[in-house]
Amino acid sequence: MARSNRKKTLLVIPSMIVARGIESILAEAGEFRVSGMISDLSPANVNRLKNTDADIIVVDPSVFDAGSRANARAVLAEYADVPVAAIESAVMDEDSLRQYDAVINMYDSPSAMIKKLRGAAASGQDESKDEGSELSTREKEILVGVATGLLNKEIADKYNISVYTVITHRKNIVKKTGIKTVAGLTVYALLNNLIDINSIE
Amino acid sequence: MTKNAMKKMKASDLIDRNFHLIGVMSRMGMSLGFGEASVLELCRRHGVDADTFMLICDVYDSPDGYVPLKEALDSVNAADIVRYLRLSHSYYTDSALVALAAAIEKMLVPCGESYRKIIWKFFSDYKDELERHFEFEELHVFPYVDALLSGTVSGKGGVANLEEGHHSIGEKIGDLKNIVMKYIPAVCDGADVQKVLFYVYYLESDLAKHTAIEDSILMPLIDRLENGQK
Repeated sequence: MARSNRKKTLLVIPSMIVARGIESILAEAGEFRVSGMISDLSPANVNRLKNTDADIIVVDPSVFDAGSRANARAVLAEYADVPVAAIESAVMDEDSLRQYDAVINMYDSPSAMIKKLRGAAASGQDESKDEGSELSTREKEILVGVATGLLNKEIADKYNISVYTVITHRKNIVKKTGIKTVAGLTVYALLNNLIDINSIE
Repeated sequence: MTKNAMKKMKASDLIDRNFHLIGVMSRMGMSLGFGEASVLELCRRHGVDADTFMLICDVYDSPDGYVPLKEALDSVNAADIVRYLRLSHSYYTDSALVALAAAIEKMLVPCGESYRKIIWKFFSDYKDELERHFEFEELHVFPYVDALLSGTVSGKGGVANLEEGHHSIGEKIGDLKNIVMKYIPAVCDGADVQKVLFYVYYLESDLAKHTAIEDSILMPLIDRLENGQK
């Protein structure tokens, strides 16, 4: 399988030994490839998580402190909207492992691990099946707001929706267009004749 | 492959493994036509510290989010890394960005005035941001490393974290890529668009490695210097 077709996998694993081990198993098996490694949840790494283009995340839950481990999946969901597989590395109760899309055991064979990852990755595809489609009318309206320099709050007030909804729309716009910066979205809006060049100058 | 085995490798085999290293080598003055020379010989010939060169090759061989081993940092010194980063900056400003600008200009010729203005402005804003970022490092970060090395300053906190700036730069070039790939007006010549896209892809991947060297090699080396370790 061509390298670029392989599913991008982001490792969030404190142990370099484990991370490198998984990387080499994935490299041999094909289908998945490691596109990034994060060893802790420092602010810089959280930023990286928020901007990841990975198809799946593999996390060692011990990266979270004991207090937040029970909600770890929800925390990750806030950062990145992708399936998450957990590695069962230390002693963890079953309940906290149930939140993940897959649980990999340290003693799994490579093929068992790939199978689990495949299942988890497929679970994410159902939700994002609208990927690749055109922007909806509402999304275009939000995009125009962003491109003309409105704040989320102003856009929310204009269309009588919550700021949270605006943020969700913005995430979907980024997902569909692949364009992340306001400057880039402005270019998109201009090229697609959604706004007039005079409205931003 | 171990570091020592890589040093003994033929330079031509090293490039054959990962052709992105052509750029790295040329920036360090190792011009092509080096015959059967080994990596180590070539480093000696051009006065390049072999351990530094190997560590940079390692970044190019690794996935994003590269973190070097602590021991790997022991064998390089900040002066060599800064020297490489300076050369790398000149490559971007004097060569890569100039070539990309010319290719974009040519690509945009068939477009209407307004499209041309819109796309050109996005590129030139990006280019300005990148060059300002380089300038900041040249004026503030690199001289600070020089000063730490010569012992004229000491202590902590001389350098703000660079990652924030790197993040924004990475996003903008990603956007440029998507704009050119997906939304370029159909009147543009396919071969011209392709050329721009190749340049953008190459620049994007090279800049990612460049910033990885700054974030995960230079910054930890600065930390060490600030803590009084050489």
